[in-house]
Amino acid sequence: MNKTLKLSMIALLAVLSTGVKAQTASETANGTARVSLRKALAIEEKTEMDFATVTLGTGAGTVSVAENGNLTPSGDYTTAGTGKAGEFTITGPANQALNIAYTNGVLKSSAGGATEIPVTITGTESLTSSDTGIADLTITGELSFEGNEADGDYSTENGTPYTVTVSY
Amino acid sequence: MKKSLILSIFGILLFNTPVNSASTDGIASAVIVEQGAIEADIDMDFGVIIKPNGIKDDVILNTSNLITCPNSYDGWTCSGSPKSGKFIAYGGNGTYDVSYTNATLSDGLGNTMPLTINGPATITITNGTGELYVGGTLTVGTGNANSQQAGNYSTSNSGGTPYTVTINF
Repeated sequence: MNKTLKLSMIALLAVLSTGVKAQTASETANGTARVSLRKALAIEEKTEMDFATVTLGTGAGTVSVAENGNLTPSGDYTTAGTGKAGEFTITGPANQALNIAYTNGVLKSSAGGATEIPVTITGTESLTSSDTGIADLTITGELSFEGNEADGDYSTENGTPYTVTVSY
Repeated sequence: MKKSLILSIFGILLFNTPVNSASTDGIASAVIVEQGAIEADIDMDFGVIIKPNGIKDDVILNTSNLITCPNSYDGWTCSGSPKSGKFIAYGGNGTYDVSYTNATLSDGLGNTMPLTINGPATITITNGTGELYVGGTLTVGTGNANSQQAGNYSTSNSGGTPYTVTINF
């Protein structure tokens, strides 16, 4: 009787020491996660700049287009038609101060040829986006003529486009 | 009468005196389980994410500080120093089950994004301590233009909820 009891206790201890853990409790910790989210900037041309029709004057001259589309020729140059300033829509972070930079363009004739009409771009260099992350940008420009350009349809699509670069 | 009484007492003493003796050691046993504990050591950090407008996608952080950014040609950029979450567990040596709950990150201004936690299903504690690294999948954007505002999002901002790590000791 005494020997039987001892054996049983040894067997019990053997079971308890085989690594089977008693599930006594669970412990929980909170974890923190974070991220800095920024919206990618995007800029899209809404209105193409348009100098309408220019009649060359004597010698070199210029034609500029204002934000409201008004065309201003120099000297005896004249214009006809409705001018348009370039308009762009910027989308990105809300209430974000934006830096804007430009490069000028070159217009060339759709008929080909080497004649180039440079366009000098002017616009604001800083903007702040709206609460919804949108900013509208209006670009003005000035064409410079030698006065001996051939008639034709000139466009930066045939030459070199001007560029608008937005950053923050 | 008096003599009889004395004899009776003597007789009782005589019969109760052991003629030999036996003894044995008693065995007592107990299983002791150390109190388990877990504490956060390193916050999970997705770094800086630049997302395009109108596109919803997942940014995945694994358990080794490696981030997987959505397609860059869509305008996604992931930078900074992403970090997986790290926890330290204390307890008796052994392997224990681990479970998680997901989180919500908030910019504190009412804009949120969900975080699905992924991590190992078990943790092994050796010499009383064990380390646990946790990653997650952050769903950024809702697919609508301007739907996910830029900002600094955290589970600890107002409107956010932390994820939890539970070890069953």
